[in-house]
Amino acid sequence: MQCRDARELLDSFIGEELLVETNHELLRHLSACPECSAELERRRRIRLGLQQAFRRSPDLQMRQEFADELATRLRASAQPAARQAWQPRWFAVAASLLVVLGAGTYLLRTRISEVTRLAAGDHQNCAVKFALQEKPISLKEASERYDPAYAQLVTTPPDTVRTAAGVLRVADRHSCVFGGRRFGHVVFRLDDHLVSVLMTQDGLAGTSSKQDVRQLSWLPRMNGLGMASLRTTGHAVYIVSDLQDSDFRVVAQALAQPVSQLAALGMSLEVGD
Amino acid sequence: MQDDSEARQAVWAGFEAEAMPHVGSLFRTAMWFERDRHEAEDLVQETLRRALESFHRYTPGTNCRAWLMSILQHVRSNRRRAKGRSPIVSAEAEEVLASTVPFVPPVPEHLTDEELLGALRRIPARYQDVIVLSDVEELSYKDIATTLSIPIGTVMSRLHRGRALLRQELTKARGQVVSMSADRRRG
Repeated sequence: MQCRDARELLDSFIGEELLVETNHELLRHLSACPECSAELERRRRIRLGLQQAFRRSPDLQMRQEFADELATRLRASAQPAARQAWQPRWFAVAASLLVVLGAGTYLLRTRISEVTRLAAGDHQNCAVKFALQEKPISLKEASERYDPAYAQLVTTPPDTVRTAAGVLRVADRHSCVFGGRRFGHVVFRLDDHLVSVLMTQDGLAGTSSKQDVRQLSWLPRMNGLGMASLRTTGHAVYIVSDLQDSDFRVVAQALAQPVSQLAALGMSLEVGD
Repeated sequence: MQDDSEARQAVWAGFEAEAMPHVGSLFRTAMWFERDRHEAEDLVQETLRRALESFHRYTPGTNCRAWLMSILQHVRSNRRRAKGRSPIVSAEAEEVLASTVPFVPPVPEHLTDEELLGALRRIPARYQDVIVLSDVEELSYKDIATTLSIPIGTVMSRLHRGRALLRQELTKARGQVVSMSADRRRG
């Protein structure tokens, strides 16, 4: 592959749009061509810079009052009393019947967000299988290149966390990418089990009240993994493990305490920027 | 069997878990497009209202943000049409702009948020749209094509040209010599 061909492909490479064969060919070229590697970094820098500029620009942020009002209106519209404002009653009745008939597993599945799936996938492919396509980087590097909030995971949660289910000991702290999403990742060991704390950027900005920040949400088990999450304005933190439900709840609650402090810090960091 | 209220609460729970996490980025995109807070809030509210109404059509596990962006674009197009504004995609020939991007200049090492956003704002809107959806929102080419109702090849060519124009603007922002492109063209 020539430099000219490689440069045509760099943006698609960053966007993970290349076919596997082309990807490998480009990676071979990049490993031997410092100029194209430098060009790749320049393009990544612009892309990352744009993302950060959008997140930080005060002009582009949602007003908290609007976010609260919007959530209230939407929630109310999902209730029977409010539906008349938005749709004819006969339609609402028919829709409700369909919803009731189809509820069950469908509704359970809809609660599982895309980010949650990726967090479960990262735990499996990074902590358990070491099968990520992209090599993990240090939290320090990730905080400098992608998001300052990752630096908080260098010390939080602490290396040892004592719980009623056993003592959690840290195995690794790094930043990794799964399914195109970057996580700050702290891996703990508890006997033969692994427990992941995964922080990622999330577009929740303005949709949660401060009171929600420290609240631990229990998510449906996914592929045999227990899942819980904390959300801040701008980040989501997931706790993932194959522990049995009773032990998982104990462990997640024990981790939630230091993590909730971290979540609050993450919120102030973003606001402070 | 669940009663109506419980079923609706369950729908809301699903919507809250899948769609609400994307409200922040949805608003930023709307604000970028509209440049008016009132319009952007109106657009986001209408987008989410429609999304909640048609949430049964959303396939769990697919890209919810892309789905919401496509609704936002649809609402935006309808509003512009109703207000008698020009369509989002102008009739300007892309070939004309293509001929103005013969060279991609080197970009300064350190760029401020203002420089980046200012440069993006100065390139034609059709290129801004694809760059925001691709580089900021990280939608796939396929999702952008669906969102903007344009062929995937057009997405790719607009991204190519738009990024080159963006880099030219970033270089201009630092006072570097953009006429290098003309020199290169003559050479």
